[in-house]
Amino acid sequence: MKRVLCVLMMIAAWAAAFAQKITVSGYITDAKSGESLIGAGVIYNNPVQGAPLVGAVSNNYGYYTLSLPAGERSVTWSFLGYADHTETLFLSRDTVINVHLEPSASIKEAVVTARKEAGLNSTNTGALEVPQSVLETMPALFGEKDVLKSLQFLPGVQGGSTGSSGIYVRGGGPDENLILLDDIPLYGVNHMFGIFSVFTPEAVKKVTLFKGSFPARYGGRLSSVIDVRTNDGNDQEFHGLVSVGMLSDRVHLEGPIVKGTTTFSMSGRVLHSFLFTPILRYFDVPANYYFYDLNGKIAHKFSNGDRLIASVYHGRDRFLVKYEDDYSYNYDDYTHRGSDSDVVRRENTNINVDWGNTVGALRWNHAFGSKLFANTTLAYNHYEMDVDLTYLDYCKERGIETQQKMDVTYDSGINDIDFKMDFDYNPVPEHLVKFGVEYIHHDFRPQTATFSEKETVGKETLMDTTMNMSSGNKLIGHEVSLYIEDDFVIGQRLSFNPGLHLGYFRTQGKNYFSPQPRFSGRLDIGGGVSVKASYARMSQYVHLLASTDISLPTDLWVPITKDIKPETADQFSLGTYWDAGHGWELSLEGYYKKMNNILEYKDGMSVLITSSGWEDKVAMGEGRAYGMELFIQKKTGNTTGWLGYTLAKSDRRFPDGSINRGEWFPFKYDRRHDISLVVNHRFNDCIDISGSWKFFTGGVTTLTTREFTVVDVNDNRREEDYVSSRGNYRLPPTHTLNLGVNFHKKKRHGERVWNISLYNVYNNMNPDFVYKERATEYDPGTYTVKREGVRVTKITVLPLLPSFSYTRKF
Amino acid sequence: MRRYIMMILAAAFATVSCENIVEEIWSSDNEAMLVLNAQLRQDETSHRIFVNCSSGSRSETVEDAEVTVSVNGGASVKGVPLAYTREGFGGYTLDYFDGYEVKVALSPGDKVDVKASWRSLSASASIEVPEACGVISAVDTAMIFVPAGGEDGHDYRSRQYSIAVQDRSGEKNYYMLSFQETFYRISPTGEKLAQMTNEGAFDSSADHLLHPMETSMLGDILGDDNRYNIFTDEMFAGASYTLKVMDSTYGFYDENWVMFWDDFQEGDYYSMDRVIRVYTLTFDEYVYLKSIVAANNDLGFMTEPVIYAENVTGGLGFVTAMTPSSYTIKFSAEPYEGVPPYTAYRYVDNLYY
Repeated sequence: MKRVLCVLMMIAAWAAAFAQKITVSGYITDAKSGESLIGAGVIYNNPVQGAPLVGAVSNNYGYYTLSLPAGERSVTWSFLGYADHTETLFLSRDTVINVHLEPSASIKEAVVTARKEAGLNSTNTGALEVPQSVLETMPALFGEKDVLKSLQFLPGVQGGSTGSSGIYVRGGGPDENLILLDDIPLYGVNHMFGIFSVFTPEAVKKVTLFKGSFPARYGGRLSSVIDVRTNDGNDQEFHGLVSVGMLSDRVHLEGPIVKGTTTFSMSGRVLHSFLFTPILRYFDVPANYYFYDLNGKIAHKFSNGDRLIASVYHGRDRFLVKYEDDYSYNYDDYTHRGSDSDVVRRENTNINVDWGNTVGALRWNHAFGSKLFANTTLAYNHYEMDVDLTYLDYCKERGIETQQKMDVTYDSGINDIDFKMDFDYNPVPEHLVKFGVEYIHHDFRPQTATFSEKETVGKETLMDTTMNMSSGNKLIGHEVSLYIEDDFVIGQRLSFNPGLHLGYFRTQGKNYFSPQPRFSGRLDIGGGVSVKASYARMSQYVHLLASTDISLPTDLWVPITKDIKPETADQFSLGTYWDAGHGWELSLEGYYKKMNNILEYKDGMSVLITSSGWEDKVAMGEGRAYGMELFIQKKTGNTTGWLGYTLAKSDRRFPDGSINRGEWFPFKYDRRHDISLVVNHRFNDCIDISGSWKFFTGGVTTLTTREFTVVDVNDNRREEDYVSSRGNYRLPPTHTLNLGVNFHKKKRHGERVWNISLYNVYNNMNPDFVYKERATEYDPGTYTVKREGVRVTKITVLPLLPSFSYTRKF
Repeated sequence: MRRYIMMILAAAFATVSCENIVEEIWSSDNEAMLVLNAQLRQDETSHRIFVNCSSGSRSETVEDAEVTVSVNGGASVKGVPLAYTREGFGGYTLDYFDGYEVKVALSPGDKVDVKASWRSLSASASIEVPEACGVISAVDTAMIFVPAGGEDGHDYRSRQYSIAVQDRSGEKNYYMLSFQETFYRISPTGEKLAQMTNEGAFDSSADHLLHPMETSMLGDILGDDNRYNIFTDEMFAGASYTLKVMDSTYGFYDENWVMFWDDFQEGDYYSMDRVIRVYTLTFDEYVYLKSIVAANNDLGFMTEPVIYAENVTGGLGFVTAMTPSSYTIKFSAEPYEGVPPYTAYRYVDNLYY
């Protein structure tokens, strides 16, 4: 009884302490556009020297809440690239203050950095932000700015094949990244076989990458969270942008529907198919390819505490092949043409490959008083890939018509319905509690194929067959997650973010529970130096099965099943961080990640559908990744950029009999060293330049090293390729320098920007692809064997490539 | 400015007119190594061992190696090269080399050492003969017509088998199903005049254990097969399972088959035996056979590399032994009716053809 009384008294004392606090809350927005500012800081300017820092940061919707003692208090709102705003408040009751910050030409760091989710002063390890300014200025392949490619320059993040937007974080696969577009997970994030990501740069407001500690609100992937936030739209004026590049055209429009209350933002991008088609024709490919993206968003402010946001994204890739061949002749005159010929023949082949995402979301922001902020989301996410092949062979010979027709369809898709509620609760300045619940209804259709064939002679049907093949059929999954996390500070030097993510997945009558504890802590040891440590357990319920290094539409998204367990990862990170002043920051971080139940295709298996299901083709195994990352960044001033270095190792092991005889082998993108250098310099309002240099040692590929003989149970012998182990050949290093320059000119209405980019400036012959074959080389003089073995041919597809784009902002 | 930019771009394009720059890297794994292969069968006394020499992109047959086999540390038995010349079509002669024959008797649990040496190279493997599975029982057959399933789209006659396999408990087991057919030519007086043995073929596609997923024609085209009829006891560990398969010996056989039936006279009889075997395989053998199938289905860059099981020291290759449980079905003699009976031969409109 005494214990109960003690606890009640403590709760009462805690509540009393809260009662003495006044809460200031509201939205922080851009004064010119009304766009909410994510991660803007609010700080109480405590006149007492050495007093604990009291501050807050705006959330993903620009909403902040800060509890202060009653009385006269000075508060400053700040954000990188904006002028600070300071007010003296006379606090006697909870107050709503919406702040509009003015953009500032002098780029300087915000005053308040406490409680930021990413960066040096956040509690999280391995959390980085890529500012929009960097996205806009980085030199890009074909002049196409790309969100995911920008991330590849951060330490711990690697790209796939050169030029592709694949993301491999800390030894994880491309499917181990939770890529969120305004909170909605995307499945297919690439266009054009991985060369572009689906994010239209103009629609993006902020990109945050988590690769070390993961706040408890995130779940479902092992290696990283890439949180992409898009613009809500200008609530004061209409603005827009038209950009013409070498490969694509982009358009962006935003403005108020009802000034100050309702805004819209829409953007689109489409590939120049008129440019692409002649290139394919040049290589005798009767094909066409194009892609497009559409983003739309409408945001309505009902009151200070209520906002409704509707957003939609639709993106599509389409690859078409159309081949026709007609010929006719007479038996005695082969030059005779026409439908009256003895022989008339027509062959038509049509192939249509179509894939993409459609995402729709409805969000409601509501502030319950001044301390509790809620976001409720209802979303629909659809990803599909369809292949349709038709072949028709028509022949008329001396009046007898024969016809052969074949139809093959192959479909794969996912439909998700997602409902989630997220809450930010700020009871006292020292605690920011986030909690929520999410339910996702997954509807997977991993592989469905139909094969039909019909053959007729005259009116008689010789064959009329249709086969339906499905692998795994339809799979329904119910995913529920609950989370709670508390980012709290103790004094001026210590902050923690403990959390728990409870995951549940039900499919095929089987239930999987996954408690995922998360923890991160930061200790400020003075002089701008801090130390952070974190632990995170993550679970993953969906996987991408891919056979090749490039992103193909045949890459298959599959869920866990009653036999395929969820993947899990335990990651430990430890790092030291130094704020050196004048915008310079330095960090050194190490990590160790252990992964279980990761999936890979077994030896000799392929992605193509067969009568076996995909589950029979994959093996579940373990992986480990460890490394160290150095990051030196200059964030303010006319010259900004960073230098990143990663030392990493990653390997995998699967049960004996499935892959590599059960032995450890290096992960495909196990690259030991990776150096990235990004520099942007702004000369004046008219010209800025940027450069990026990337060096990484080669990943691995598997080579046939010799030929040998196998004998089966019937003593049949066969010569076969001998492979000593998976990943037995390390590719040569890759290094690329890219430069870009932007010429800005103010116009009467807006601004025009010419961008010129040079990709691979010193024309380094990088191993973009490798091709392997058995070969023998003979001495030309004696015709004796000079050397024989396996020849690896290194192909550089991206030499020095200049590009330009023209952008008109209004 | 615009003109200036265009000039820069034009110049840059001109200098980058190259397409692919290619560099060749030669892997130089040309060291000669012996490849030793053998699939020993416990129920046979004559075994075949194959020796090759692998170097770079070649793997050549070695016909003068020294091959020995020793059982349980006993005396070594030498392998005898099986080389012969056969007359081929058009009067050409063809030289065959069928490996090395070794005659030893094997029992389950035996430790077998196989060694091969050639010039300065040597390779060896040590294996253990696995135990047989429990007795095959309840082999049941029935003649059926398979509608529209023949290669030409017509009905064909086949024989269906139900074969119960008793698993050995307490361990993970791997099995292979096979059958052998022997035909006898019998005189009107009942004397056995000749016999011919063939490795039969099963159509196992209807059995869930042998083909866990639904099968299809396209699946077969893509090579998703279980041609060796291998399976594990995963679904019936320690218990029994009844396999349901059909024979599919409706095709023509080789010239020996034709010659055998050509010798039949009016009034002769024929009879046949069918030996059903379920071999116990080692785990490595099971994986090895799957690898052979996977390699046969290689679709190039879309396929993961095939890495074979190996157990040869000092060289490459795979040596294994398998132990069967068998059941023989004896079919009673039938009068010869002028055409080969081909028990499961195509049968349309009461006519054989």
